[in-house]
Amino acid sequence: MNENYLTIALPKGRLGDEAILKFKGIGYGDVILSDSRKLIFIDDEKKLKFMLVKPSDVMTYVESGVADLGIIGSDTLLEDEKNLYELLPLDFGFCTFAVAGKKGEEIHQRDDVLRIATKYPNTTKKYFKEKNQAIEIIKLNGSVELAPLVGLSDVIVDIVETGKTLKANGLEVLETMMDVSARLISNPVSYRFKYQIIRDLMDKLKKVGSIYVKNN
Amino acid sequence: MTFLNMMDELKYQQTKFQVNQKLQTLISNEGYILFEPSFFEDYEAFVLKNKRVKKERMIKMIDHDGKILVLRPDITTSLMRQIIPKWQDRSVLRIFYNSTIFSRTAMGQIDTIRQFGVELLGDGKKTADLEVLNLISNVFNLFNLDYVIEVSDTRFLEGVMSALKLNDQEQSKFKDILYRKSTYDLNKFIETKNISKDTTQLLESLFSLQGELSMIEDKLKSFALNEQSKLAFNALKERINALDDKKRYMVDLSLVSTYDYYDGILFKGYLKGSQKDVLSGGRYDPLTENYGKKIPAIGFTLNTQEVIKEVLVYE
Repeated sequence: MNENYLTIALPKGRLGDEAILKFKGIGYGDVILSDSRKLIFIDDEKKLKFMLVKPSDVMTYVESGVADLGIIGSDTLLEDEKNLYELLPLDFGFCTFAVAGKKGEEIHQRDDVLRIATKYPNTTKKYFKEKNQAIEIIKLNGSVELAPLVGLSDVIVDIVETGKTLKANGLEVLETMMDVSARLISNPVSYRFKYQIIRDLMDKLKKVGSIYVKNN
Repeated sequence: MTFLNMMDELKYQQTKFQVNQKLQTLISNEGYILFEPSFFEDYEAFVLKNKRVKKERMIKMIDHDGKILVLRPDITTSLMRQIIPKWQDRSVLRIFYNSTIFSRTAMGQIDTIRQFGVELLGDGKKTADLEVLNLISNVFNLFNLDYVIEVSDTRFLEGVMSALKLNDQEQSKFKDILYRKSTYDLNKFIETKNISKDTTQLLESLFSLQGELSMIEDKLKSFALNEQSKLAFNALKERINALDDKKRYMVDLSLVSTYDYYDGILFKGYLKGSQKDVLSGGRYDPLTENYGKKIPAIGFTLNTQEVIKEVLVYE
Protein backbone atom coordinates (compact mmCIF):
# COMPACT_ATOMS: atom_id res chain seq x y z
CA MET A 1 0.00 0.00 0.00
CA ASN A 2 1.39 3.34 -0.99
CA GLU A 3 0.58 6.16 1.40
CA ASN A 4 -0.43 8.83 -1.07
CA TYR A 5 -1.43 7.00 -4.21
CA LEU A 6 -4.54 5.02 -4.90
CA THR A 7 -3.42 1.87 -6.70
CA ILE A 8 -5.89 0.04 -8.93
CA ALA A 9 -5.31 -3.41 -10.45
CA LEU A 10 -7.04 -3.87 -13.80
CA PRO A 11 -7.41 -7.18 -15.63
CA LYS A 12 -5.80 -7.40 -19.04
CA GLY A 13 -8.23 -8.23 -21.83
CA ARG A 14 -11.80 -7.37 -22.63
CA LEU A 15 -12.98 -6.77 -19.09
CA GLY A 16 -10.00 -4.49 -18.45
CA ASP A 17 -10.59 -2.54 -21.67
CA GLU A 18 -14.12 -1.79 -20.56
CA ALA A 19 -12.87 -0.84 -17.12
CA ILE A 20 -10.35 1.57 -18.65
CA LEU A 21 -13.17 3.19 -20.65
CA LYS A 22 -15.13 3.61 -17.40
CA PHE A 23 -12.19 5.22 -15.66
CA LYS A 24 -11.55 7.50 -18.61
CA GLY A 25 -15.23 8.44 -18.46
CA ILE A 26 -14.75 9.87 -14.98
CA GLY A 27 -11.45 11.50 -15.95
CA TYR A 28 -9.28 9.02 -14.07
CA GLY A 29 -7.59 6.91 -16.69
CA ASP A 30 -5.94 9.35 -19.10
CA VAL A 31 -2.47 8.02 -18.31
CA ILE A 32 -3.31 4.54 -19.56
CA LEU A 33 -2.03 3.96 -23.07
CA SER A 34 -3.81 0.90 -24.35
CA ASP A 35 -1.33 0.11 -27.13
CA SER A 36 1.64 0.30 -24.82
CA ARG A 37 3.41 -2.72 -23.37
CA LYS A 38 3.89 -1.04 -20.05
CA LEU A 39 2.27 -2.73 -17.10
CA ILE A 40 2.05 0.22 -14.76
CA PHE A 41 0.76 3.74 -15.41
CA ILE A 42 1.17 6.55 -12.92
CA ASP A 43 -0.85 9.74 -12.73
CA ASP A 44 1.15 12.02 -10.43
CA GLU A 45 -1.38 14.81 -10.63
CA LYS A 46 -4.38 12.76 -9.53
CA LYS A 47 -2.24 10.46 -7.35
CA LEU A 48 -3.32 7.31 -9.12
CA LYS A 49 -1.53 4.15 -10.18
CA PHE A 50 -2.95 1.61 -12.57
CA MET A 51 -1.51 -1.87 -12.87
CA LEU A 52 -2.39 -4.25 -15.67
CA VAL A 53 -2.37 -7.86 -14.52
CA LYS A 54 -3.73 -11.23 -15.58
CA PRO A 55 -7.46 -11.38 -14.64
CA SER A 56 -6.98 -14.34 -12.31
CA ASP A 57 -4.23 -12.44 -10.47
CA VAL A 58 -6.24 -9.28 -9.68
CA MET A 59 -7.49 -10.70 -6.39
CA THR A 60 -3.97 -11.69 -5.33
CA TYR A 61 -2.71 -8.13 -5.86
CA VAL A 62 -5.65 -6.63 -3.98
CA GLU A 63 -5.62 -9.12 -1.12
CA SER A 64 -1.92 -8.55 -0.51
CA GLY A 65 -2.55 -4.80 -0.49
CA VAL A 66 -0.11 -4.05 -3.33
CA ALA A 67 -3.22 -2.69 -5.00
CA ASP A 68 -5.93 -0.91 -3.02
CA LEU A 69 -8.68 -1.59 -5.52
CA GLY A 70 -9.29 -3.93 -8.41
CA ILE A 71 -11.79 -4.72 -11.13
CA ILE A 72 -12.83 -8.32 -11.51
CA GLY A 73 -15.71 -10.45 -12.81
CA SER A 74 -17.98 -11.84 -10.14
CA ASP A 75 -17.26 -15.34 -11.51
CA THR A 76 -13.67 -15.10 -10.26
CA LEU A 77 -14.84 -13.73 -6.92
CA LEU A 78 -17.16 -16.68 -6.40
CA GLU A 79 -14.48 -19.20 -7.23
CA ASP A 80 -11.84 -18.14 -4.73
CA GLU A 81 -12.74 -17.15 -1.21
CA LYS A 82 -10.53 -14.23 -0.28
CA ASN A 83 -10.69 -11.60 2.38
CA LEU A 84 -11.87 -8.70 0.22
CA TYR A 85 -14.67 -6.16 0.08
CA GLU A 86 -16.93 -6.35 -2.96
CA LEU A 87 -17.73 -2.68 -2.99
CA LEU A 88 -19.53 -1.91 -6.20
CA PRO A 89 -21.22 -3.82 -9.01
CA LEU A 90 -20.44 -2.25 -12.39
CA ASP A 91 -22.44 -2.17 -15.57
CA PHE A 92 -20.20 -4.21 -17.82
CA GLY A 93 -18.76 -7.68 -18.14
CA PHE A 94 -22.23 -9.21 -18.23
CA CYS A 95 -22.52 -12.92 -18.78
CA THR A 96 -24.03 -15.94 -17.05
CA PHE A 97 -22.73 -18.99 -15.29
CA ALA A 98 -24.33 -21.97 -16.96
CA VAL A 99 -24.38 -25.72 -17.27
CA ALA A 100 -24.08 -26.71 -20.92
CA GLY A 101 -24.16 -30.01 -22.77
CA LYS A 102 -24.60 -31.55 -26.18
CA LYS A 103 -27.55 -30.14 -28.02
CA GLY A 104 -30.67 -32.24 -28.10
CA GLU A 105 -29.06 -35.15 -26.34
CA GLU A 106 -30.29 -36.55 -23.10
CA ILE A 107 -27.52 -36.48 -20.53
CA HIS A 108 -26.42 -40.03 -20.44
CA GLN A 109 -25.20 -41.22 -17.10
CA ARG A 110 -23.51 -44.51 -16.71
CA ASP A 111 -23.82 -44.16 -12.95
CA ASP A 112 -25.46 -41.50 -10.83
CA VAL A 113 -22.35 -39.35 -10.76
CA LEU A 114 -22.47 -36.45 -13.20
CA ARG A 115 -19.09 -35.70 -14.78
CA ILE A 116 -18.49 -31.97 -15.18
CA ALA A 117 -15.61 -30.27 -16.92
CA THR A 118 -14.93 -26.73 -15.73
CA LYS A 119 -12.46 -23.99 -14.96
CA TYR A 120 -14.48 -23.26 -11.82
CA PRO A 121 -14.33 -26.33 -9.55
CA ASN A 122 -15.33 -24.55 -6.31
CA THR A 123 -18.37 -22.75 -7.71
CA THR A 124 -19.46 -25.96 -9.42
CA LYS A 125 -19.07 -28.02 -6.25
CA LYS A 126 -21.06 -25.52 -4.22
CA TYR A 127 -23.86 -25.28 -6.77
CA PHE A 128 -24.39 -29.02 -7.11
CA LYS A 129 -24.05 -29.65 -3.40
CA GLU A 130 -27.09 -27.45 -2.85
CA LYS A 131 -28.91 -29.53 -5.46
CA ASN A 132 -27.78 -32.76 -3.84
CA GLN A 133 -26.36 -34.05 -7.10
CA ALA A 134 -23.27 -36.27 -6.91
CA ILE A 135 -20.62 -34.99 -9.30
CA GLU A 136 -17.12 -35.63 -10.47
CA ILE A 137 -15.15 -32.56 -11.41
CA ILE A 138 -12.69 -32.51 -14.24
CA LYS A 139 -10.65 -29.35 -13.88
CA LEU A 140 -9.60 -27.84 -17.18
CA ASN A 141 -7.78 -24.62 -17.94
CA GLY A 142 -9.37 -23.80 -21.28
CA SER A 143 -11.34 -25.08 -24.29
CA VAL A 144 -13.82 -26.57 -21.87
CA GLU A 145 -16.37 -26.99 -24.68
CA LEU A 146 -14.34 -29.85 -26.07
CA ALA A 147 -14.85 -32.10 -23.04
CA PRO A 148 -18.41 -33.36 -23.70
CA LEU A 149 -17.67 -33.75 -27.39
CA VAL A 150 -14.85 -36.19 -26.82
CA GLY A 151 -16.45 -37.93 -23.87
CA LEU A 152 -14.25 -36.47 -21.17
CA SER A 153 -17.34 -35.22 -19.33
CA ASP A 154 -21.15 -35.31 -19.47
CA VAL A 155 -21.57 -31.55 -19.23
CA ILE A 156 -19.57 -28.37 -18.67
CA VAL A 157 -19.92 -25.45 -16.29
CA ASP A 158 -18.63 -22.20 -17.72
CA ILE A 159 -19.45 -18.56 -18.20
CA VAL A 160 -21.47 -17.85 -21.32
CA GLU A 161 -21.46 -14.46 -22.94
CA THR A 162 -22.99 -14.72 -26.39
CA GLY A 163 -23.28 -18.48 -26.63
CA LYS A 164 -21.43 -18.46 -29.97
CA THR A 165 -18.66 -20.81 -28.85
CA LEU A 166 -21.25 -23.22 -27.50
CA LYS A 167 -23.23 -23.14 -30.72
CA ALA A 168 -20.17 -23.58 -32.90
CA ASN A 169 -19.41 -26.75 -30.97
CA GLY A 170 -22.93 -28.15 -30.97
CA LEU A 171 -23.58 -27.42 -27.31
CA GLU A 172 -26.46 -25.61 -25.62
CA VAL A 173 -27.20 -24.14 -22.23
CA LEU A 174 -29.02 -26.70 -20.11
CA GLU A 175 -29.38 -24.59 -17.00
CA THR A 176 -28.55 -21.01 -16.07
CA MET A 177 -26.84 -20.86 -12.71
CA MET A 178 -26.37 -17.16 -12.01
CA ASP A 179 -25.63 -13.77 -13.50
CA VAL A 180 -22.09 -12.48 -13.69
CA SER A 181 -20.87 -8.89 -13.97
CA ALA A 182 -17.84 -6.75 -13.16
CA ARG A 183 -17.16 -5.66 -9.58
CA LEU A 184 -15.00 -3.10 -7.91
CA ILE A 185 -13.15 -4.83 -5.08
CA SER A 186 -11.09 -3.37 -2.26
CA ASN A 187 -8.48 -4.41 0.23
CA PRO A 188 -10.08 -4.06 3.71
CA VAL A 189 -7.13 -2.17 5.22
CA SER A 190 -7.00 0.25 2.28
CA TYR A 191 -10.73 0.75 2.62
CA ARG A 192 -10.22 1.79 6.23
CA PHE A 193 -7.27 4.13 5.69
CA LYS A 194 -8.27 5.56 2.30
CA TYR A 195 -12.02 5.52 2.92
CA GLN A 196 -12.76 9.00 1.64
CA ILE A 197 -10.88 8.78 -1.67
CA ILE A 198 -12.30 5.33 -2.34
CA ARG A 199 -15.80 6.57 -1.54
CA ASP A 200 -15.35 9.55 -3.92
CA LEU A 201 -14.22 7.22 -6.67
CA MET A 202 -17.24 4.99 -6.04
CA ASP A 203 -19.62 7.94 -6.25
CA LYS A 204 -18.13 8.97 -9.58
CA LEU A 205 -18.29 5.43 -10.94
CA LYS A 206 -21.90 5.15 -9.81
CA LYS A 207 -22.78 8.19 -11.88
CA VAL A 208 -21.38 6.79 -15.12
CA GLY A 209 -22.83 3.36 -14.58
CA SER A 210 -23.22 0.96 -11.78
CA ILE A 211 -25.89 -1.65 -11.41
CA TYR A 212 -27.45 -3.02 -8.34
CA VAL A 213 -29.36 -5.87 -9.78
CA LYS A 214 -29.31 -6.69 -13.43
CA ASN A 215 -32.81 -6.58 -14.85
CA ASN A 216 -33.70 -9.42 -17.12
CA MET B 1 21.75 -9.66 -3.41
CA THR B 2 22.52 -10.07 0.24
CA PHE B 3 20.50 -12.18 2.55
CA LEU B 4 19.91 -11.80 6.24
CA ASN B 5 23.16 -12.45 8.07
CA MET B 6 23.61 -13.76 11.58
CA MET B 7 23.50 -10.33 13.22
CA ASP B 8 20.32 -9.33 11.31
CA GLU B 9 18.67 -12.51 12.45
CA LEU B 10 19.60 -11.79 16.05
CA LYS B 11 18.37 -8.23 15.76
CA TYR B 12 15.02 -9.55 14.61
CA GLN B 13 14.91 -11.98 17.52
CA GLN B 14 15.80 -9.15 19.87
CA THR B 15 12.98 -6.92 18.57
CA LYS B 16 10.57 -9.81 18.91
CA PHE B 17 11.67 -10.34 22.49
CA GLN B 18 11.35 -6.63 23.31
CA VAL B 19 7.88 -6.33 21.79
CA ASN B 20 6.69 -9.35 23.78
CA GLN B 21 8.29 -8.10 26.93
CA LYS B 22 6.84 -4.60 26.62
CA LEU B 23 3.39 -6.03 25.99
CA GLN B 24 3.56 -8.40 28.92
CA THR B 25 4.89 -5.75 31.29
CA LEU B 26 2.16 -3.30 30.32
CA ILE B 27 -0.59 -5.81 30.76
CA SER B 28 0.63 -7.40 33.97
CA ASN B 29 1.02 -3.92 35.48
CA GLU B 30 -2.69 -3.53 34.81
CA GLY B 31 -3.34 -6.56 37.00
CA TYR B 32 -3.73 -9.24 34.32
CA ILE B 33 -2.42 -12.77 34.96
CA LEU B 34 -0.66 -14.89 32.33
CA PHE B 35 -2.52 -17.98 31.18
CA GLU B 36 -0.65 -20.83 29.44
CA PRO B 37 -3.09 -22.68 27.17
CA SER B 38 -2.79 -26.43 26.64
CA PHE B 39 -1.26 -27.57 23.36
CA PHE B 40 -4.03 -29.98 22.43
CA GLU B 41 -7.78 -29.87 22.31
CA ASP B 42 -10.07 -32.84 22.00
CA TYR B 43 -11.21 -32.79 18.37
CA GLU B 44 -14.80 -33.85 18.89
CA ALA B 45 -15.44 -31.57 21.86
CA PHE B 46 -13.88 -28.66 20.00
CA VAL B 47 -15.97 -29.14 16.87
CA LEU B 48 -19.12 -29.47 18.95
CA LYS B 49 -18.55 -26.14 20.65
CA ASN B 50 -17.18 -24.26 17.63
CA LYS B 51 -19.58 -25.12 14.86
CA ARG B 52 -18.45 -22.53 12.34
CA VAL B 53 -14.74 -23.30 12.54
CA LYS B 54 -13.51 -25.02 9.39
CA LYS B 55 -12.65 -28.62 10.23
CA GLU B 56 -10.26 -29.02 7.32
CA ARG B 57 -8.15 -26.16 8.66
CA MET B 58 -7.28 -27.89 11.93
CA ILE B 59 -4.08 -29.83 12.52
CA LYS B 60 -5.14 -33.26 13.74
CA MET B 61 -3.14 -35.83 15.67
CA ILE B 62 -3.96 -39.25 17.02
CA ASP B 63 -3.19 -40.25 20.59
CA HIS B 64 -2.15 -43.75 21.74
CA ASP B 65 -5.76 -44.71 22.45
CA GLY B 66 -7.03 -43.62 19.06
CA LYS B 67 -8.48 -40.35 20.29
CA ILE B 68 -8.24 -37.48 17.81
CA LEU B 69 -6.60 -34.33 19.09
CA VAL B 70 -6.08 -30.96 17.44
CA LEU B 71 -3.16 -28.62 17.90
CA ARG B 72 -4.82 -25.61 19.52
CA PRO B 73 -6.66 -23.70 16.78
CA ASP B 74 -7.51 -20.94 19.23
CA ILE B 75 -6.75 -19.95 22.79
CA THR B 76 -10.06 -18.65 24.11
CA THR B 77 -11.55 -22.17 23.88
CA SER B 78 -8.75 -23.63 25.99
CA LEU B 79 -9.21 -20.83 28.49
CA MET B 80 -12.98 -21.28 28.71
CA ARG B 81 -12.64 -25.05 29.08
CA GLN B 82 -10.23 -24.73 31.98
CA ILE B 83 -11.73 -21.77 33.81
CA ILE B 84 -15.50 -21.65 33.45
CA PRO B 85 -16.24 -25.04 35.08
CA LYS B 86 -14.30 -23.88 38.15
CA TRP B 87 -16.02 -20.50 38.23
CA GLN B 88 -16.67 -18.96 41.65
CA ASP B 89 -19.51 -16.48 41.88
CA ARG B 90 -18.83 -12.77 42.11
CA SER B 91 -15.22 -13.07 41.02
CA VAL B 92 -13.58 -10.84 38.44
CA LEU B 93 -10.68 -12.32 36.48
CA ARG B 94 -8.13 -10.49 34.39
CA ILE B 95 -6.23 -12.88 32.16
CA PHE B 96 -3.80 -12.56 29.28
CA TYR B 97 -2.02 -15.01 27.02
CA ASN B 98 0.84 -14.84 24.56
CA SER B 99 1.06 -18.09 22.60
CA THR B 100 0.99 -19.68 19.19
CA ILE B 101 -2.04 -21.10 17.44
CA PHE B 102 -1.96 -23.58 14.56
CA SER B 103 -3.99 -23.88 11.40
CA ARG B 104 -3.77 -25.25 7.90
CA THR B 105 -3.70 -22.74 5.05
CA ALA B 106 -5.88 -23.09 1.96
CA MET B 107 -2.79 -24.52 0.24
CA GLY B 108 -2.47 -27.19 2.91
CA GLN B 109 0.60 -25.94 4.74
CA ILE B 110 0.74 -25.69 8.51
CA ASP B 111 0.56 -22.10 9.63
CA THR B 112 1.57 -20.74 13.02
CA ILE B 113 0.17 -17.46 14.30
CA ARG B 114 1.40 -15.66 17.37
CA GLN B 115 -1.48 -14.34 19.45
CA PHE B 116 -1.45 -11.99 22.34
CA GLY B 117 -4.81 -11.63 24.02
CA VAL B 118 -6.62 -10.21 26.97
CA GLU B 119 -9.82 -11.43 28.66
CA LEU B 120 -11.78 -9.68 31.38
CA LEU B 121 -14.24 -12.13 32.95
CA GLY B 122 -16.97 -11.58 35.53
CA ASP B 123 -17.62 -7.89 34.87
CA GLY B 124 -20.45 -6.88 32.57
CA LYS B 125 -20.45 -3.19 33.30
CA LYS B 126 -19.71 -0.36 30.92
CA THR B 127 -16.48 0.31 32.81
CA ALA B 128 -15.24 -3.16 31.85
CA ASP B 129 -15.80 -2.38 28.15
CA LEU B 130 -13.94 0.90 28.58
CA GLU B 131 -11.07 -0.76 30.42
CA VAL B 132 -10.50 -3.19 27.56
CA LEU B 133 -10.88 -0.53 24.84
CA ASN B 134 -8.45 1.79 26.57
CA LEU B 135 -6.00 -1.09 26.96
CA ILE B 136 -6.01 -1.47 23.18
CA SER B 137 -4.99 2.17 22.77
CA ASN B 138 -2.26 1.70 25.37
CA VAL B 139 -0.93 -1.34 23.54
CA PHE B 140 -0.64 0.49 20.21
CA ASN B 141 0.70 3.66 21.80
CA LEU B 142 3.43 1.60 23.43
CA PHE B 143 5.03 1.22 20.00
CA ASN B 144 3.89 4.55 18.53
CA LEU B 145 1.91 2.77 15.86
CA ASP B 146 -0.63 4.45 13.61
CA TYR B 147 -3.85 2.52 14.17
CA VAL B 148 -7.60 2.64 13.68
CA ILE B 149 -10.19 0.62 15.56
CA GLU B 150 -13.54 -0.10 13.94
CA VAL B 151 -16.32 -0.48 16.49
CA SER B 152 -19.93 -1.49 16.51
CA ASP B 153 -22.43 -3.08 18.82
CA THR B 154 -23.77 -6.44 17.59
CA ARG B 155 -27.20 -5.56 18.98
CA PHE B 156 -27.57 -2.86 16.30
CA LEU B 157 -27.63 -5.46 13.52
CA GLU B 158 -29.61 -7.86 15.71
CA GLY B 159 -32.25 -5.12 15.83
CA VAL B 160 -32.17 -4.73 12.06
CA MET B 161 -32.40 -8.49 11.59
CA SER B 162 -35.31 -8.86 14.00
CA ALA B 163 -37.21 -6.28 11.94
CA LEU B 164 -36.50 -8.43 8.88
CA LYS B 165 -37.71 -11.62 10.61
CA LEU B 166 -34.87 -13.75 9.25
CA ASN B 167 -34.46 -17.43 10.06
CA ASP B 168 -31.05 -18.81 11.13
CA GLN B 169 -29.95 -19.65 7.63
CA GLU B 170 -30.94 -16.23 6.29
CA GLN B 171 -29.22 -14.51 9.20
CA SER B 172 -25.98 -16.24 8.43
CA LYS B 173 -26.35 -15.36 4.74
CA PHE B 174 -27.08 -11.74 5.64
CA LYS B 175 -24.01 -11.55 7.88
CA ASP B 176 -21.86 -13.07 5.18
CA ILE B 177 -23.00 -10.37 2.73
CA LEU B 178 -22.10 -7.66 5.26
CA TYR B 179 -18.75 -9.33 5.96
CA ARG B 180 -17.85 -8.98 2.28
CA LYS B 181 -19.50 -5.54 2.04
CA SER B 182 -21.12 -6.72 -1.17
CA THR B 183 -23.51 -4.04 -2.42
CA TYR B 184 -24.70 -6.33 -5.19
CA ASP B 185 -25.62 -9.23 -2.93
CA LEU B 186 -27.20 -6.94 -0.35
CA ASN B 187 -29.48 -5.34 -2.92
CA LYS B 188 -30.37 -8.71 -4.34
CA PHE B 189 -31.20 -9.84 -0.82
CA ILE B 190 -33.45 -6.81 -0.31
CA GLU B 191 -35.26 -7.58 -3.56
CA THR B 192 -36.02 -11.17 -2.63
CA LYS B 193 -37.42 -10.27 0.79
CA ASN B 194 -40.57 -8.33 1.34
CA ILE B 195 -39.14 -5.45 3.34
CA SER B 196 -40.81 -2.23 4.46
CA LYS B 197 -39.73 1.01 2.85
CA ASP B 198 -38.10 2.34 6.03
CA THR B 199 -35.99 -0.75 6.50
CA THR B 200 -35.05 -0.86 2.82
CA GLN B 201 -33.71 2.67 3.07
CA LEU B 202 -31.68 1.75 6.13
CA LEU B 203 -30.26 -1.37 4.47
CA GLU B 204 -29.32 0.50 1.31
CA SER B 205 -27.32 2.97 3.38
CA LEU B 206 -25.81 0.40 5.73
CA PHE B 207 -22.35 0.40 4.14
CA SER B 208 -22.10 4.17 4.36
CA LEU B 209 -22.95 4.14 8.08
CA GLN B 210 -19.31 4.29 9.00
CA GLY B 211 -16.90 6.96 10.08
CA GLU B 212 -16.75 9.34 12.99
CA LEU B 213 -19.37 8.95 15.68
CA SER B 214 -20.92 12.42 15.31
CA MET B 215 -21.34 11.94 11.56
CA ILE B 216 -23.05 8.58 12.01
CA GLU B 217 -25.32 10.06 14.64
CA ASP B 218 -26.44 12.73 12.15
CA LYS B 219 -27.00 10.18 9.42
CA LEU B 220 -29.06 7.92 11.67
CA LYS B 221 -31.55 10.71 12.31
CA SER B 222 -33.10 10.11 8.90
CA PHE B 223 -33.91 6.45 9.63
CA ALA B 224 -36.63 4.88 11.70
CA LEU B 225 -34.73 2.51 13.98
CA ASN B 226 -36.37 0.02 16.29
CA GLU B 227 -35.77 0.11 20.06
CA GLN B 228 -33.08 -2.57 20.01
CA SER B 229 -30.97 -0.78 17.40
CA LYS B 230 -31.46 2.57 19.13
CA LEU B 231 -30.33 1.17 22.48
CA ALA B 232 -27.33 -0.47 20.85
CA PHE B 233 -26.26 2.75 19.19
CA ASN B 234 -26.66 4.73 22.39
CA ALA B 235 -24.55 2.19 24.28
CA LEU B 236 -21.88 2.50 21.61
CA LYS B 237 -22.00 6.28 21.75
CA GLU B 238 -21.66 6.36 25.53
CA ARG B 239 -18.61 4.16 25.35
CA ILE B 240 -16.81 5.97 22.55
CA ASN B 241 -17.38 9.34 24.20
CA ALA B 242 -15.80 8.07 27.41
CA LEU B 243 -12.63 6.76 25.73
CA ASP B 244 -9.17 8.27 26.26
CA ASP B 245 -8.20 8.24 22.61
CA LYS B 246 -11.57 8.44 20.87
CA LYS B 247 -10.41 9.87 17.56
CA ARG B 248 -8.84 6.47 16.80
CA TYR B 249 -12.23 4.80 16.93
CA MET B 250 -14.36 4.65 13.80
CA VAL B 251 -17.92 3.42 13.92
CA ASP B 252 -18.85 0.79 11.33
CA LEU B 253 -22.42 -0.31 11.84
CA SER B 254 -22.12 -3.07 9.25
CA LEU B 255 -19.22 -4.68 11.12
CA VAL B 256 -19.65 -8.43 11.63
CA SER B 257 -17.31 -11.04 13.04
CA THR B 258 -16.54 -14.52 11.73
CA TYR B 259 -17.75 -15.77 15.11
CA ASP B 260 -21.37 -15.71 16.22
CA TYR B 261 -20.77 -15.61 19.95
CA TYR B 262 -20.31 -11.85 20.29
CA ASP B 263 -23.11 -9.96 22.00
CA GLY B 264 -22.52 -6.27 22.62
CA ILE B 265 -19.53 -4.22 21.67
CA LEU B 266 -17.50 -5.57 18.75
CA PHE B 267 -14.23 -4.26 17.32
CA LYS B 268 -11.51 -4.82 14.75
CA GLY B 269 -8.15 -3.06 14.62
CA TYR B 270 -5.94 -2.05 11.71
CA LEU B 271 -2.36 -0.79 11.55
CA LYS B 272 -1.27 1.54 8.83
CA GLY B 273 1.07 -0.44 6.60
CA SER B 274 -0.07 -3.87 7.65
CA GLN B 275 -2.26 -5.72 5.18
CA LYS B 276 -4.38 -7.71 7.62
CA ASP B 277 -6.63 -6.77 10.46
CA VAL B 278 -4.28 -7.15 13.41
CA LEU B 279 -6.75 -7.07 16.26
CA SER B 280 -10.25 -8.31 16.90
CA GLY B 281 -12.52 -8.79 19.86
CA GLY B 282 -15.64 -7.83 21.71
CA ARG B 283 -18.08 -8.85 24.40
CA TYR B 284 -18.79 -12.57 24.24
CA ASP B 285 -20.91 -13.57 27.25
CA PRO B 286 -22.84 -16.21 25.20
CA LEU B 287 -19.65 -18.21 24.57
CA THR B 288 -19.09 -18.87 28.27
CA GLU B 289 -22.55 -20.43 28.41
CA ASN B 290 -21.27 -23.22 26.15
CA TYR B 291 -18.94 -24.21 28.97
CA GLY B 292 -21.59 -24.44 31.65
CA LYS B 293 -22.24 -20.99 33.00
CA LYS B 294 -23.06 -17.59 31.54
CA ILE B 295 -20.45 -15.15 32.75
CA PRO B 296 -19.85 -11.61 31.52
CA ALA B 297 -16.77 -11.69 29.29
CA ILE B 298 -14.92 -9.28 27.03
CA GLY B 299 -11.54 -9.54 25.37
CA PHE B 300 -9.34 -9.02 22.34
CA THR B 301 -6.68 -10.85 20.36
CA LEU B 302 -3.70 -9.20 18.75
CA ASN B 303 -1.55 -10.69 16.00
CA THR B 304 1.92 -9.92 17.38
CA GLN B 305 3.77 -11.05 14.24
CA GLU B 306 2.15 -8.17 12.37
CA VAL B 307 2.97 -5.77 15.19
CA ILE B 308 6.64 -6.82 15.16
CA LYS B 309 6.77 -6.32 11.39
CA GLU B 310 5.46 -2.77 11.78
CA VAL B 311 7.74 -2.00 14.73
CA LEU B 312 10.71 -2.98 12.55
CA VAL B 313 9.45 -0.75 9.72
CA TYR B 314 8.93 2.24 12.00
CA GLU B 315 12.46 1.84 13.36
